[in-house]
Amino acid sequence: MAELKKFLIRRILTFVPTIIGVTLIVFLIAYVIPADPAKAWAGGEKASPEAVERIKERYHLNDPWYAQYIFLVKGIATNTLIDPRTSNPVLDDIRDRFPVTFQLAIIAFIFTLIIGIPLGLISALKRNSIVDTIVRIFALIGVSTPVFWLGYLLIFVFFVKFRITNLAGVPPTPATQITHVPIIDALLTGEFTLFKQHLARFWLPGFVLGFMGTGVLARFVRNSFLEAISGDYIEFLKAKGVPKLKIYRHALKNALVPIVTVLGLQFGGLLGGTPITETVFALPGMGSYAIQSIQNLDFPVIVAITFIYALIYVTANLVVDILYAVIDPRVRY
Amino acid sequence: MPEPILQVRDLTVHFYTYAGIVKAIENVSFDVYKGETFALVGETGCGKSVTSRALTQLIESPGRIVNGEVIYHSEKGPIDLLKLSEEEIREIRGNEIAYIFQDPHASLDPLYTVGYQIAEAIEVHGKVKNIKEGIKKAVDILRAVLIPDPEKRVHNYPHELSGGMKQRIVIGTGIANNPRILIADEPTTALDVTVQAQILDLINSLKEKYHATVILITHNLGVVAETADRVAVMYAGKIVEIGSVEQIFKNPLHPYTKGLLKAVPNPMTKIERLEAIPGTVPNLITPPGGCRFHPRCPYVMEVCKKKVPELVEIEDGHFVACHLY
Amino acid sequence: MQEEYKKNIFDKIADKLVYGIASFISLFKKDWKAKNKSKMEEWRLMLYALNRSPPALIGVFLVIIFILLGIFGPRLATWRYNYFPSLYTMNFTQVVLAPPGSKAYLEFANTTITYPLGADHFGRDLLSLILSGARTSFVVSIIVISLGVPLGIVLGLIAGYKGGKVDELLMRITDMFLAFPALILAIALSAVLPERIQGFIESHVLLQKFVLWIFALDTREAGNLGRLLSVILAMIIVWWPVYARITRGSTLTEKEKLYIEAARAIGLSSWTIMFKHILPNIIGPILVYITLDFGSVVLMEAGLSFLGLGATPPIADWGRIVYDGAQYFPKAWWLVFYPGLIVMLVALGWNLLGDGLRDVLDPKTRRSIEFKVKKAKGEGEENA
Repeated sequence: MAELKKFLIRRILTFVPTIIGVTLIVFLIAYVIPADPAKAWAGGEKASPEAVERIKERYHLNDPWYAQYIFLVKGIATNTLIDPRTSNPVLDDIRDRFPVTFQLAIIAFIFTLIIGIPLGLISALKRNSIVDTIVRIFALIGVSTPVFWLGYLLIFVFFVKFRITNLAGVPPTPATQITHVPIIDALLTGEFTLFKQHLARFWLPGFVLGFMGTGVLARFVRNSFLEAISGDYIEFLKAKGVPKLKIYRHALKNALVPIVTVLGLQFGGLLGGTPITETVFALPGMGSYAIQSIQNLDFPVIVAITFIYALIYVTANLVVDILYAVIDPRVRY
Repeated sequence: MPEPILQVRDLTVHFYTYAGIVKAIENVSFDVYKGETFALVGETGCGKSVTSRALTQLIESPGRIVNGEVIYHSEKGPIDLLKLSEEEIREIRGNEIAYIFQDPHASLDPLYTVGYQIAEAIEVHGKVKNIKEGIKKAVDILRAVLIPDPEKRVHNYPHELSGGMKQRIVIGTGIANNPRILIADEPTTALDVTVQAQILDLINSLKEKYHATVILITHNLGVVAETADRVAVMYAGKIVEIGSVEQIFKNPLHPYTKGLLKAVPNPMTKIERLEAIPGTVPNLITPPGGCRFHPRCPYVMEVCKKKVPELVEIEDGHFVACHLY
Repeated sequence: MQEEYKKNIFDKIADKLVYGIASFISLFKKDWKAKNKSKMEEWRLMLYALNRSPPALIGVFLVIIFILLGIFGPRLATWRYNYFPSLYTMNFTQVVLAPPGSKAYLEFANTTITYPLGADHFGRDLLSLILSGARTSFVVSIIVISLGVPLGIVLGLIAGYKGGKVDELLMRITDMFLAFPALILAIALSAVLPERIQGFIESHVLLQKFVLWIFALDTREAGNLGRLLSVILAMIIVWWPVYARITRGSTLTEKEKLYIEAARAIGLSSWTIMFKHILPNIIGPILVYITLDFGSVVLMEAGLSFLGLGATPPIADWGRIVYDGAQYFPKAWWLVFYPGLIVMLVALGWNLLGDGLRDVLDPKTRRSIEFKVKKAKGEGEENA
């Protein structure tokens, strides 16, 4: 256990340089922004030169690059970066939209897990059977289907034809917030009607977003499980007289090591898919907010949202690494 | 007359691969007597390991036990191990007949402590109530296989131990349930030379302590001479000669056994120089007709190419499958 | 198991293909064909193996269709992407969002237009748009892969082979890029880059002409190139780090092997070792990734233009058609359905091909087919 603690500390320490790297790239993105938006923010062509100048000064657009970098990082860290369009601190605007995106990603992730893992195990146990082939084709179709296309297709089926999903607005958040993810909070505080409303609104977008990864995960689970079950230690377990189910448990735990890694990557894919899903299903999350901001040339928002996405992803990878170390004693070095 | 504990008759295992049917072992027959160390010798790929695993149905697809019987004289009477159901044979494996595998680095599950893995072997045969109690017993076992500081070592993971230590753990797992038969498949091959002798001594002393019968599979004639009572020599999936250590080393009858003894330093007689056996091991998909050794045999006759030789007893307890006799 | 091996039509095509490639190389390197008999044989066997897998063949078929559409699509289109039928009629309702299979008479142009797959909100023929859009998708994927992948491979090779500080630095940079979900970074970059790229392209007239030509666009679209190119640049920036990672990993294992040590011992330069000895030995799995990634690029490009980034109307682009058409969904379902379907089919084609290639490059599956081929060949030669 002491090893695990040491590993955790070391891993969290490497978290810091990664975040600094992320801010550097975010800054680069901000830096290539041309100076012209100042004019747009000041009120378009009619804006007075003084107003434009004031905005340039306020956003340090005339300063050397390092001053701009410090301004940006400071602005994000202290939440003093102001959105020129809404005049709110950028992070305040994002905070309102974050739960939607996060909830969407979580639901999609759950879909991926509860479909992908059993499917993978079935196709491993029935290797080279029809089930296996179907899963393989399903995986290929999954990675080939554009999220937006599947989204509209399912909207057509479930909303236009059968009306078994809700596409307007977002249900309110529960009164007591524990995790700040409405659907989980609703469940925890026992507000089941609210939970149902959230589910009705989110299950379809969640499924669409999770669909892409499901087949890939299934294939990966299959291959990892087969690899694990062909290990020499599995034969030794048999020679020990261990019953089949317990042998599968050993194999599954060994297969979990690579699976966890791939789950981390898949979560990144899910996050990346949120802007498209939110746009298709008219969900007011971070992704669709970013798209609106692009249309309005609202660059501080783009910069901040990009940063937040990277932050979530990096944190997810940290969690993956920790899980990895918990499962596999060999990586605790 | 010694009392047999295991009687193998006409054991045949085939592997069904895309390239064809690999006839890994064909009509293998031998007896193992209670309390002895029986060695199965031969080159890599001659079917030693397959034979040892087939004894308890440990053959995986694409392999299949095609024919034969393995009569095990248990305390309750003789049983044919190959006729048992999956669950029945599972209760015997690791309990009455236990294995030690070749590569200790690969035999242990990297994600569990060694204590857990030994405890598991005891627990699945219902000798302890739960894993926790099993781990207490594992400490005693580690002490028995001469691992220093066993109370601490039970909580170690395999990667924290050396190769020799790991093999002791594997041996410990093997003897955890006081098996009547211990099958050691090349137990020293993957280890450093310095550790090999220690491991062999350990197996021998444990055999004495627990009154077990040992089936030793090896390609190392030095190991055989030192530890075995009786020897069966295998070539290309068939047994060519069976006899006591004395008989095999002092009076080898089969041309292959003779060649083998000339090819390695013979621990019992002095020889001037080492000679290789000409030719290569045959392909087991299309093995040579008649005697499988005939393409390499210096005494080859017409009959060798046509007729498969049977094992015949030449002197007391010394069998050979060769048309010369 | 024992089925008889017979050369089918695809195997014969494979023979011709390998022979053609070998002859082509021989034009530059004399005696190449004579010296590389075994390599040619290996290629041939690989292609035979591919021919044994129906999914892979479907993949090849779809990919070939995509390439042909990419090259000839704009020519096959009956109507140019910037021909707006709504300008040539007073009767808008017959052209705007015309359903699949309908016809319209354009009185000002004195011509009849048919809509096999329907029309968009300008009355443009969807089929022609999809055909023209194939070029956009095709060119974007070629550029992104042919610039992003080599960049990643070279950096990965250097990092893996040189090790030490160079490796540390390159990998830290790679990690920085990999810390973002790919699509998010691509969105942010395509949002901020257009203006500068537009300025750049406008000051380089020749380059501008070339870009217009490869995308089969009219000169008046010059003002829209910035956004299209920024999506390409964004995707290149997103794409290379993965390849740097993969290549570095395989380089690390490969450089420990004996033949590399031998090459170093006889004093070959690092560049020779990296590109002539290590790269050919690690390229197999990378090729599979490249094939799969052609599909991913097509998907990501469609996704970005679905978000309104990249190609702007009237430039024909599959994702953009959906973006504009989605406002009329579900009434004008064809504007969403058909472009999305073709994106899926193209991506599926590349994925099927990549999956098949992976099997072919996997020694386990390949050997079983080689075995059959060789056996059949041995018998065939005896007969001849």
